[in-house]
Amino acid sequence: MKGIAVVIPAYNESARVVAVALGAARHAEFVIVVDDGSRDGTWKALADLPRPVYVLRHRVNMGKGAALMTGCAAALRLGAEILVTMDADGQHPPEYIPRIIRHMREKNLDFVFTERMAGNQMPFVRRAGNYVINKTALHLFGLRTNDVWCGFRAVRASCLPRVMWRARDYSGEVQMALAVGRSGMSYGSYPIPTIYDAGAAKGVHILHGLKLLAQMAVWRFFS
Amino acid sequence: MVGIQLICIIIGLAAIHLTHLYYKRFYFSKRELFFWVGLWCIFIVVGLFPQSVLPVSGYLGLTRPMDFIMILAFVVLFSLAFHNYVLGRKQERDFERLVREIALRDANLK
Repeated sequence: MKGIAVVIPAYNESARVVAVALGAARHAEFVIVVDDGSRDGTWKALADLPRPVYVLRHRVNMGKGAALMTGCAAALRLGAEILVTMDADGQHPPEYIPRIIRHMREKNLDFVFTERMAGNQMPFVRRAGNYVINKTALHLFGLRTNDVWCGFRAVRASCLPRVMWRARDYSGEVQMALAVGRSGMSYGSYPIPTIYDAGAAKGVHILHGLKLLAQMAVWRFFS
Repeated sequence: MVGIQLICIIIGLAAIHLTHLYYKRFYFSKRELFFWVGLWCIFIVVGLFPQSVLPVSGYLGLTRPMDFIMILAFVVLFSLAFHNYVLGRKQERDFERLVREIALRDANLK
C-alpha cells in the first residue's frame, strides 16, 4: 500500500521478527525494523531481507520508546503518509494492517488504536492490569480506548508531532496514546484477535504496571 | 586528636591522592586539580580545627561549629546529587540522539 510505513521495534526477537517483517511487507510500502541492541542475533537474522524492509540498528539497547522514535524518524524521511506500529513478537497479525488503514480512511481518523478482543488467552493478571491502566487513562486523560497497552496502531504522519513521546522505555507508547487523548485529534479503535504466547511475553510485569500508573499521574499533573 | 579528626585527615589525603592521580591520567585539567585539592584541603582543615568555622556559624546564628559543618555538608551533597542528576539526564539524551543518528545514517534510506 502506497504511503504506508510499518515500524517494528525489535529486541531479542530473532526467532519471530523475520516472519513479522515479511508479513508486514505484503501490506506496506516501507517496513522499518529497528533492532534495539539485541544480543540474540536479531540483526543478523534481518540483515538480508529485501526491500521494502529497511533495517536500522541501535548499537546499544535504548528501550522500546526510543526504538519506536527512531523508526518513526526513518519513516518520515522515507516520505510515509501513514505510520503503523506493531510488535516484533508476533502478537499483532500483519493481515490486519489493510483493515486498520481502511478503517482510518473511511472514518477520516488521525489515529487508530487496536483493541485485543477479550478472550482467555491472556492471563488474568494481565487482563486486570490492562483494565486498570485503561480506566486510569480514561479518567486522567479522557482517552477512550480499551487497550492503551497495545502497540499495534496507526497514525497519520502529519499528526505525529502532536503525539510525540519522551520516555525511552516501554512507557513511551503509552505516553504516545495519552497524548492522543490530550491533543483533540480524531481517533478510533479497531478490534484484533488476541494472540498471546507466554513464551514471547517478556519484560513487562506487575511492577511495570504500578510504575506506569505512577508515571501517568505525574504526566497528568506535573507535565 | 580524636578519631573523627584522624578519619577526616585520612579521607582528605586519600582524596587528594586520587585527584592527583586523575590529573596525571588527564581526566582533570589543571584548574580542576587546583579546585579539588583546595576543597579537600579545606575539608582537612575544618576536620582538624572545627573551631575555625566559629565566626561563620556564629554569624548564621548557629551555636555549635558542628551544626554549621553538618548543614554545609548536606547542602553540598544535595547540590552534587542535583548536578549529577541533570548531567546524567543530559548525557542520556545526547547518547540517545547519537545512537539514533548512527542508526539512521547506516540504514541507507533510499
